[in-house]
Amino acid sequence: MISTLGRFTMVLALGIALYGAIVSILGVRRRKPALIESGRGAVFAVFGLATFAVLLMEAALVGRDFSIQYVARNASLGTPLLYTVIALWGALEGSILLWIWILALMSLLAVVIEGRRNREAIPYATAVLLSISAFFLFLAAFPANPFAAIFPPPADGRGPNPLLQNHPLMAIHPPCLYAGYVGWSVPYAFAMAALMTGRLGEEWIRTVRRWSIVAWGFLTVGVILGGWWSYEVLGWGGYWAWDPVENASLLPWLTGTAFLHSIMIQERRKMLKVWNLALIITTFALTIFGTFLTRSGILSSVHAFSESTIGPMFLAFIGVILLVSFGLLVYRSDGLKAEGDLDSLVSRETAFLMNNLLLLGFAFAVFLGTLFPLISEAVRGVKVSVGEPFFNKVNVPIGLVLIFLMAIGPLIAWRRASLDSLRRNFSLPLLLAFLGTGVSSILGVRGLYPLLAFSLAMFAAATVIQEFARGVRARRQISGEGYLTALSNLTKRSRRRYGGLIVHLGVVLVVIGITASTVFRLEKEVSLKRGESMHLGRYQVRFDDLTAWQEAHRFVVQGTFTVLNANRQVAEMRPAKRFYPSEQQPIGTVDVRSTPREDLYLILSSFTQDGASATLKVLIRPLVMWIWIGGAVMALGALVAIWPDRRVLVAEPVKERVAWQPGRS
Amino acid sequence: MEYLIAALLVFLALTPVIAPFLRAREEPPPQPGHAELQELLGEKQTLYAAIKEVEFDYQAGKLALEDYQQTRHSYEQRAVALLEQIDRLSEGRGVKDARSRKEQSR
Repeated sequence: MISTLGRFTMVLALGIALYGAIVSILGVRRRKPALIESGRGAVFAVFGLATFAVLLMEAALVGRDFSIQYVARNASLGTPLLYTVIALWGALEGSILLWIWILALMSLLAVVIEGRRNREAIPYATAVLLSISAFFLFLAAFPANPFAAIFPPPADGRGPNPLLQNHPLMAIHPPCLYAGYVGWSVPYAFAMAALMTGRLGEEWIRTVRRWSIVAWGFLTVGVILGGWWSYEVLGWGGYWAWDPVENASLLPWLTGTAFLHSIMIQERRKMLKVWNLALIITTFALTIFGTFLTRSGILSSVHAFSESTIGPMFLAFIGVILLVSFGLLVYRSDGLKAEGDLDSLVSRETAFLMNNLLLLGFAFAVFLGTLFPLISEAVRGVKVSVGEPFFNKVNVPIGLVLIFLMAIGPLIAWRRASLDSLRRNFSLPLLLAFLGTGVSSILGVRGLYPLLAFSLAMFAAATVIQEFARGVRARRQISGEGYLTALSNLTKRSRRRYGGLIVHLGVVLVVIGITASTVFRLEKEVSLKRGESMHLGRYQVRFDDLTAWQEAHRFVVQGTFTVLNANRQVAEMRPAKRFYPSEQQPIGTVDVRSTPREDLYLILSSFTQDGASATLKVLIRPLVMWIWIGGAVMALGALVAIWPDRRVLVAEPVKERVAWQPGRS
Repeated sequence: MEYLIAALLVFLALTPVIAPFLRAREEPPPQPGHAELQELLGEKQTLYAAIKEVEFDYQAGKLALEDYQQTRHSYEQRAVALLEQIDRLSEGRGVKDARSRKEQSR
């Protein structure tokens, strides 16, 4: 029954999505409010149906209904409940179902929240959102049907991929990443609505600003959590491997970050109108490209789903998006002329423009490196991959300049900055950066890039702290508030600005974490007999025991190691190997002792059958925790930036009175 | 049972789609000029925020007097032009009359 109902739900939702897209356009063209409302109703209906489909799939998974092929492949009688529930996004078909649900939810929120404010744009945006939904619903209804039945049903299922049932982060990383990908559909839809209506002023920018930050925030959290999952689960001690699927998530993040900066130039200076639309189209297309890479099997990746037939459909969809969107952009190009010019090279506009060019350069290098195996295969008939050295060589210098621009951007005045302003803003941060470079050098940092990374991070942190400190001081002078009240009110009165600065602080933490954990990384692999110890850094690691036991869904072999620091026991760590019936190779389970200072990372490489000896790989990676904290700070900054401003909510734009007159402050 | 659930699903899914056609009163589509006015008012809000920001930056000691005066002047010039545009458009739509009536009644 679940199979039939599930498929029926997908087909019904597809029909309603197509209907809604068509009547929304017809309604606005023929000025028929009932048609527009009916299109809006379709958004509600699609959300309801998508929710029902997700619940059906969860019922099948939790009920272990092995007559559903997806359940038979991704659940088993022995799989714990948490991993059974999250098996929804553990494979291709289920992940598309989750995608559909998140898209339906985002569409619903967009229609409800923006419905009143953007009455002219909303039918077009609805049509675009429903068209995107229709594409994914088509996939779920036909080539990637998650409800496909299997006969006769097996007595037990295969269970999820072992890597996906090895860490609870799998419960939040994919949904966050999908929300980040899907979230860009809303800004894209409003950008398309602006192009369709010809209303190409700043109204669409104001609408998409908040939605872009939401998508960007989710994408940031998704990418950082992906790194964390990789670090905790894949067992190689790293968090980023420039894997094609990792790169695919970074691409829209880079172009999206560029967009979030360049829209400020459009708001303030009415410049970069074409650029901003191109960026939002590119970002959206890259989110679809990311799903294509993950789901087509075109490039091998530890994060990719198995090969499928839907790859060409994704390519066709990307083609249509690019053709229609850029076609509209060209068609409307007359109304997209810049109304201002760059007044000076020393201005915030220039800094943001440079930041945009570098982010795009970074994205292009990642794109090229990711697709290089395909390009080389097409040209030379051999798949040649470019690895970490290529990405680091190209992107590290770009990244360093980006940190520099991130530091100076918010401090330079719009239009032009005089020497006096520059001196006021940069004297102290520069001094601190030089001091930081000296301290880093004394602490043993060597090499141009690591030294630059630390000093630029210091510089950027100092500029952010200085901004907050000056703001608080000014508020205290004006209103006599206490420090905390002044800080709180400062942030509340300009959430976007200070939210952005908090994001910058998060980036600084991430940069420090990445640099320190790379530069000061220590590692050693040794075979130990029971009772023997090895030394690495300030730690002594002693092999105590090896135990093994059978669990419902796997066989576990676990080592026990005592960690000592200056002859004092600081931890007992238990790296393991887990043997799943469906996998030929065991899955390593690392044990990580995380502290703000450093991570101690233990990998059980191998062991003898009798358990008398084990080969252990030990890594010390300083400041790794600050990468995750930095990610959380970035998410917090995004949250501060999008938090609704009560003063704006109260103001009804059309009815409001003129509150300010020139010459009066 | 399967058919019953499917029928119920169709009914529930079609309700929000069909309901707008059955409603007696329809909300009229936005009037011409509504979007332009909203656009200008939104821009005015952005400009207003920019002026406050530049003022605050000056008070915080971030901007030199020369930069402050120059930036503020350029924003003010834009604001004057913008307010004139808003007034023209509001007059056209009768909003100004409604506003003055409202003010008189206070």
